[in-house]
Amino acid sequence: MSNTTPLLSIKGITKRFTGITAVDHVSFDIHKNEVHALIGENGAGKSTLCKMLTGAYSIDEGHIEIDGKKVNFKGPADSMKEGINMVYQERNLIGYMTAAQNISLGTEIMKGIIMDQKAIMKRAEDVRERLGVDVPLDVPVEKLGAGAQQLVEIMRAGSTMPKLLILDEPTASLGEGEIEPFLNFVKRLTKELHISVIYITHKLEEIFTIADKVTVMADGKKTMTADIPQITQEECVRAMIRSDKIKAVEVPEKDFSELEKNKILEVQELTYDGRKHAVPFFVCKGEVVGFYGLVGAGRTETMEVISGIRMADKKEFTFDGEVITGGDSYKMIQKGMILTPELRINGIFPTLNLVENVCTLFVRKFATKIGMVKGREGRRFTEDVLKKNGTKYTSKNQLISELSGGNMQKIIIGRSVEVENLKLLTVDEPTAGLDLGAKSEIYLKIRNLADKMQKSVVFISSELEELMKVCDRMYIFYNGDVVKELKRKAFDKEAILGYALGGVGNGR
Amino acid sequence: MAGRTKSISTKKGEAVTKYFLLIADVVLIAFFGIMRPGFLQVGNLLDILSTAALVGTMGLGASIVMTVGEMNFGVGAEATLTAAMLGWILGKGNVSVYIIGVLLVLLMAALVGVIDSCFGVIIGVPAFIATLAISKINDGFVNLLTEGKTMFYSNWPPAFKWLGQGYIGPIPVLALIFVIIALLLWFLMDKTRLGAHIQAVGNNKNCCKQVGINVTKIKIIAFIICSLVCGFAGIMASSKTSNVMNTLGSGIMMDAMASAMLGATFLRPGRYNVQGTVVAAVLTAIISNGITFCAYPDYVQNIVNGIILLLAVGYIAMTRKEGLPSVKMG
Repeated sequence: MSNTTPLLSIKGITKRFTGITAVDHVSFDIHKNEVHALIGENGAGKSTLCKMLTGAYSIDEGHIEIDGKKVNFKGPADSMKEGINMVYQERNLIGYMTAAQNISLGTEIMKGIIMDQKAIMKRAEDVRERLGVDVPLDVPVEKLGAGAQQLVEIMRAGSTMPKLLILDEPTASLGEGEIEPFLNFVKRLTKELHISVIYITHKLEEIFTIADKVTVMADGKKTMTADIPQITQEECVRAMIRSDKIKAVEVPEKDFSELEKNKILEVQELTYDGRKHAVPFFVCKGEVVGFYGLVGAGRTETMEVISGIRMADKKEFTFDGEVITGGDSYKMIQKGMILTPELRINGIFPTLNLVENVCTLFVRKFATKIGMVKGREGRRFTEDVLKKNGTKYTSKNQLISELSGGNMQKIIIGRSVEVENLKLLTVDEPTAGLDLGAKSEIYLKIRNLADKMQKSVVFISSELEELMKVCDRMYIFYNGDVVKELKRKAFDKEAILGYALGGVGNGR
Repeated sequence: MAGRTKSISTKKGEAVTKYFLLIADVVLIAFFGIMRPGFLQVGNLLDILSTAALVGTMGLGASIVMTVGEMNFGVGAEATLTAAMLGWILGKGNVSVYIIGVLLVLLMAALVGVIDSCFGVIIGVPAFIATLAISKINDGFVNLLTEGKTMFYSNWPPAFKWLGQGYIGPIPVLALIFVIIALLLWFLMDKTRLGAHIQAVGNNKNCCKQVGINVTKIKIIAFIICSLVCGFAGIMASSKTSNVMNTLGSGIMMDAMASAMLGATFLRPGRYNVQGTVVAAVLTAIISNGITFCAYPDYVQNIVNGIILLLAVGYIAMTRKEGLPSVKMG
């Protein structure tokens, strides 16, 4: 171990949000000239931790030290003065400004009271040369691609020559060909310009290429810090997944020829957003069908059109033996089809309590003839739903927004299942932002619906692993169309990724 | 659904719409000129500019707050209050020097801006509601000062009238002042750091926070500038008519805010800009002057103005997916 004072020392910092501890007493050091990878599942607390390092979030407990000196940041401006800069996952640029103007935003060079555009351009050119990147500086950044925008942000963060640069999932928005040059660029930042880097990611391959050290987080806690050559990928994964909380998901083998006799939903083609989409797929009774594809591949859109949420130019499909060509979501729910939305916030009423959140879906059921609400029955029903779904709550009169994401999701799915005469449930990214324990409970719930209750489930997700774990069959979407159907036995990660990236016949 | 329309807008179409307002100005002048040749007399054209000055000045003030992504529905009341205050202190003889009076009431206007931002920015009440409430209080003070009547004092100094009715050579002072204010604000918004930050805050608040721009401070400054400019518009309006009516500000407020929004289709579509607001204010003035000139009834003017505004904001909604700062499209 080096005996020099670390550049940044994190000492037991903790952050609590209502109901959850996002970061729980985390400590580790970052040294000079080091690329320090920070990995963990979605919701493990990586971004929250880094936002505390920049002062964007206040620290509830613990503190941080820079060069051995205790610091207290009130906002990003303070941490920038100490040489800490962060590039966030979402793009933070002023679209109409040029790259040069964006780089100098907040630190504009002035000539008297006028901004000196020439000097601002000159500075940007200097930064560009120093970092050795190639980005046009004189066009509005909204006209640039995702990769170039990313570089503009790094140029801005690097323009003040920070000691520590935090990159939050920097390769998430980059295309296949852009990633490798970018990783080399990050390496050069550290080795040549002596900028230490905290590199947040969930792509394990990347960290073995560029990082010197890795810290793993799970459920807000640090599970491991290690030097990179001394550790294997498997050990990282084990640290990310705290296996004690995970429940195994069992998928019984199905006889598909038998299943296919009982198709609930059958679709060939849908026209929406002004384009015809070839989406030949079907869902049988008692099976879980996964929809995989890249973001924007049309998975959500397809099910939204079918559920009557999204406007379609033309639709025709068979549901439960009936040919359907129209109808809004209300009608489709009556027919026995419901969708839980991609964004959890769209599935709840954050300012209402649990009873109201459960019962709004059943206003007819819990209303007298003249429209008065039957309070007692609603409360009893709610209690029933909460209990059946193993929801953790303190009172049924508490606001749903006080619950954790996992418990909210249990309520959303739980009440949807209660829809009278339900045949098909679509869950859209139900596990987004949940920890692994909560995820596994959702998986069990989905399997239970299909296997025990003989309902059909369409499971939309961007996480291929979970689809492979839970589904009986899978459809892969590319550019709005279904390009491949796979049965469980034929699930193969690389092939599926190939279809999702390149469409038909491009499976590697 | 709307996604399709948004991608259609071509470069060529944008060039036409970029200058649509200016083209509309010229076409309408030509149209009214043909209908009534007297319309084109220099005197009338300068008169149009004076009318535009009131709407335009208030529009410029309102556009500053709209640029940071907020709304100020109190601009009308702020203008009336400032004018009534000036009329009152000059009329009661509390202050005899005109310039000092103007400076004093502008100080008060700035204070209203501070109160606006206290609620709308610091406490976090949606600004359009906060300013609506504050405008009611301001209305009350106006009625207190005017005793519910149109205010007129015979001992107002001659300077009171000069601003709105005087001429320098052939040019109305009102038009000249408007041009000066527009130039100052253009300089502020496009050349200075403060202006760049005001625009940046409206475009992406998070980005500004991240680079260390104090978003709250910028918004407060925007509200203060807005109140100052709108207060001055009130002084201009009262000077033009030599009295202070209770409806002085509210009469031009909707046109003023409409000008700011119309202006956002000009030159830099999707962004408020000084040039656009000026051109749009002139358009409103041409329409109202021309319609009076042709002896059409007043309601025609309302309907035409409304249709033009709807077309303009509709166009922005269809072509810019993020809409306008302060008028977010879903």
